Amino acid sequence: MFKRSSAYIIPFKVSRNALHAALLSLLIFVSPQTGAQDMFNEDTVTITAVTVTATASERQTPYTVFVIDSAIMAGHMESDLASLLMYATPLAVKRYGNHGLASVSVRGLPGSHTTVKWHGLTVNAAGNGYTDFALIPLHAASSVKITQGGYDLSDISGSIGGKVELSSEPLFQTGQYGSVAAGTGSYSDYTASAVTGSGSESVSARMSLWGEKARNDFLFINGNAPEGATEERRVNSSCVSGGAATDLAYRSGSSTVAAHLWYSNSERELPGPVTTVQQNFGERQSDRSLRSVISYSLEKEKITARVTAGGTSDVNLYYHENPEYNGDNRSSLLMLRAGIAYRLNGKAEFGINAGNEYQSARSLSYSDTERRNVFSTSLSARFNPGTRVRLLLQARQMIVTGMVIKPEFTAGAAVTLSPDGAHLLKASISRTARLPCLNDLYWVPGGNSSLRHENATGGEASYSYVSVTSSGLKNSIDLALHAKRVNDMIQWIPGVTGIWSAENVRSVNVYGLEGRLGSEMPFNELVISSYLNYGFTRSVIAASEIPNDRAVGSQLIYVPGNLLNLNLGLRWKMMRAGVTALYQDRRYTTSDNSEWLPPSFIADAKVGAVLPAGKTKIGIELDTKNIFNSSAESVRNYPMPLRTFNLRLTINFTSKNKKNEEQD
Amino acid sequence: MKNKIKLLAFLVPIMFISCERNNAEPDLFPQGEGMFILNEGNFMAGNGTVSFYSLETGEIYNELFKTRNSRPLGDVPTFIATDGTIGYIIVNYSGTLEAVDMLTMESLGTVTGLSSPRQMAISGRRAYVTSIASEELTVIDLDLLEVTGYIDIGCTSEAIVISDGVLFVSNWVAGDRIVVVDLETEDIIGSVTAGTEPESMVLDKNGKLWVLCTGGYMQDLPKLVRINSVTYEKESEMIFGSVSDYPASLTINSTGDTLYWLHEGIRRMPVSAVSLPGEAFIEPGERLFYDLGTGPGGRVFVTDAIDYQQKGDLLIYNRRGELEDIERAGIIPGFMLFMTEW
Repeated sequence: MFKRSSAYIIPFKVSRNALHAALLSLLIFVSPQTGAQDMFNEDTVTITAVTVTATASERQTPYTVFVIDSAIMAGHMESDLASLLMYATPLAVKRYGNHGLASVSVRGLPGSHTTVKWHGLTVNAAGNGYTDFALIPLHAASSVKITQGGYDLSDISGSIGGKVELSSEPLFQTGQYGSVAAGTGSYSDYTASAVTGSGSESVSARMSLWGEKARNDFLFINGNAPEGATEERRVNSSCVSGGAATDLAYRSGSSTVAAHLWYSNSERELPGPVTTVQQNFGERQSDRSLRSVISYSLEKEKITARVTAGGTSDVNLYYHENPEYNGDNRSSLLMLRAGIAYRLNGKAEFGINAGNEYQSARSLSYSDTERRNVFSTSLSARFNPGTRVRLLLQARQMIVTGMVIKPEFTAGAAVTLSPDGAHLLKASISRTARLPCLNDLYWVPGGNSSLRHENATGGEASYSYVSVTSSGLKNSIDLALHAKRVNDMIQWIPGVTGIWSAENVRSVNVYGLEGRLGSEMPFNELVISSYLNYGFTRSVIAASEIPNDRAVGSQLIYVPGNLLNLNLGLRWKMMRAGVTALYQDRRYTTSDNSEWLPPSFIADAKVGAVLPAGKTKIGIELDTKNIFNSSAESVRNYPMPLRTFNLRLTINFTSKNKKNEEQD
Repeated sequence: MKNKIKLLAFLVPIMFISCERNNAEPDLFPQGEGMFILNEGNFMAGNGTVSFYSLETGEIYNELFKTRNSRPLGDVPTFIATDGTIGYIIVNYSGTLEAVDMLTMESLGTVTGLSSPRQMAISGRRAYVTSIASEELTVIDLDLLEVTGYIDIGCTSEAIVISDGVLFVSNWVAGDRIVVVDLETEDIIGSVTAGTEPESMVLDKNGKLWVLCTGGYMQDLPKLVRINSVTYEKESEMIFGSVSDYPASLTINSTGDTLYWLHEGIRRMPVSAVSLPGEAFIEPGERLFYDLGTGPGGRVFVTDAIDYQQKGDLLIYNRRGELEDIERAGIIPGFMLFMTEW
């Protein structure tokens, strides 16, 4: 029986979740060691090792930036970015069922406050400001970088929640490589992908193709059915998706030119909510997007320069059984940015960035095609006044059509506590802004062209520890305390005519604690890796202009107070095994916190083997999702599947052997 | 062993006490005069609830259906009709009709698969349900709690009123007419063009049908229209001043002589009036009124949904328009039904 409201939480369910979580925590921490996020996994031929090299500099950044470990990415290759972030970061993912629309909340702010970049190009739709993380396959990029909070001011426009950056750095001198993978799973889920690439001294080329088809008519428990709890099958929930991405790069001396292209197409049926009975309004959605970026970068003596241009076109078509409700939403964006940094000496570097983003959107609910231009320039200065101290100052000014934006700034410091660099203390403060999306401004009815931008003021303090011993033992600990105040938060609220409109009505105080622990422990031929992410977040409505608003003092909806996930991996000779688990605290579903989704615990397990055959490796993997057969929802009334299985076969090829790779 | 016996001796009486309490099903609310309130809940959240405000205790009793039946009512309950002590609750976005014992709120059965039902009217043992998505009225046999037929009226529908053997059905969304259906033959026998988007309607003591047309969103001037329920002809119309006006929730008092509706507060008008009232009977102040009901003694009940994402308020005013009480209802408190006789 799955209940939702405060009066109907069944204690047994909660305690069982806690028991599962405790069991897995014990499994992970039966070892006294914790360890490094930086791990090179030899199975991940299609995943670059770039993440390893990038991490050192990210660690010195005075605010929280981290790159998802390539081995963890490899473990989620056939799923989408939402699944990866859900299991491998302290970010909160909200998902409308299996394969359904997914948004990501960073540090307690809604998904519309999370910026997604692909090679510097904004992925968020200009219309609604959201990114559907379910539509981003991991094949589209080889690296995922997370910035917690809106501290990074090098982009053209800002965010106050956080940033997810996707990129595929060029791989030179790799020789030829490739992989093909095919999978099949429960409820007629079929996946296929192929990657091929080549890296010479001066040219890097990579191409990915992927596709998925799923009937997705999974079983779930309807605990609110009129006749009592019943096991039902989801209807109107199939999906088909596919896409391609290419990355080309050419380098000559200290210059590099790179070009990236990403096309994706998705057709999804949209299952209705299960509100005592399962609804089916024949809804479906079609999403197409084409993105391209070209960049030129130069690293010469004391100068680093980069020019990037790109564009994106998104089409979102919505169909309902009643054609009057159909939707046609289209967004496009053109971007041009340039930046140059100059190292004055070993202790100082100055940089300037300037860029322009031209946004355009149209919808059946707009009176016309709406456009907006965003120009910004930012300055940065980095100082190393001592061998152990790094200072950062950033400032940005946006100039936006029809809106006055206050200047933004970030200031921070990183102090190395120990000579070996293992212990690091960081702190930063910032004031950043978020622009309203075009729907907020122009949707008819209710769009409000008088909106102000949202702004956030806050900071964080963090501690980082990394060690790598000669025996191969790697440990890492990252802890961060953060706090911010968000003013002029935009919400859609009803007016006296019953028509909703966008208004700057609330202020929110956000504070919390984040922890990331990792370890990789080799015991002869056995390697155990474990990663744990924890987030405690209070995201509280501090002030409101809505009369009689009892939500003041309450947690924002769908922000879990506590979130814990862990990844455990075992490698022994050819054998592979892994467990991933996610615990989420209650998520309130009403603004006054009178109702909530109960805590949920989901665990997956996988076993497999990698069989070497010369320059080819054949991998086989059986993945069991939701091994405890838990009934869970990420969004109210959108159930997730009970236990499912997936079998995947992967063939990797590289023209270089392992020894050559190490020499390179 | 002794300890186990002691434990059993302790637990067994408790078990019997528990069983007795469950069997007795203690009253969730007092059964005197009072107002039932349907709280719509958040759209697609399935958390619609039923509340009861007792005039005798001056208190509100919330979540009655869920407490009695250990399951939620569904998504967006919009209407209750009664037949004796049996109530029929329409749950719009769940597409269901719940039959309940109004004395206990115990579910007596559920009709599922209705196409976006909105309101209903009862004639004998048959119920006629309007739909905001379908161009048919759904006919339900109340004894069997089964759908037995459909009446094609050629448009979607909202409000429904029975008068002298005919159904008057309003074509609210993007419509402008009132369709007249003969109850005996279930055929359309007439149609009256009322005004843009006829949202609510009531019958007065003289048998006149009053229809409130919102005018749509910034589309046309709203109108309050009076229709002769015998000849199906429009007798009069009172036009509001601006297309930005958005009157709604027309209701009438128990004696059928005074109309009330929401428009920049609460407006009140005798059925004998020839022009719209110039001022609000009750000013909204900082309130965002959502729905309206009337009770005995000229009492007015009005709801405030606040931000539509939290529990709203029920406000009770006396006949002089003075605030008597404020109670916290459920999320988006909407349709109200006053019960005088049980």
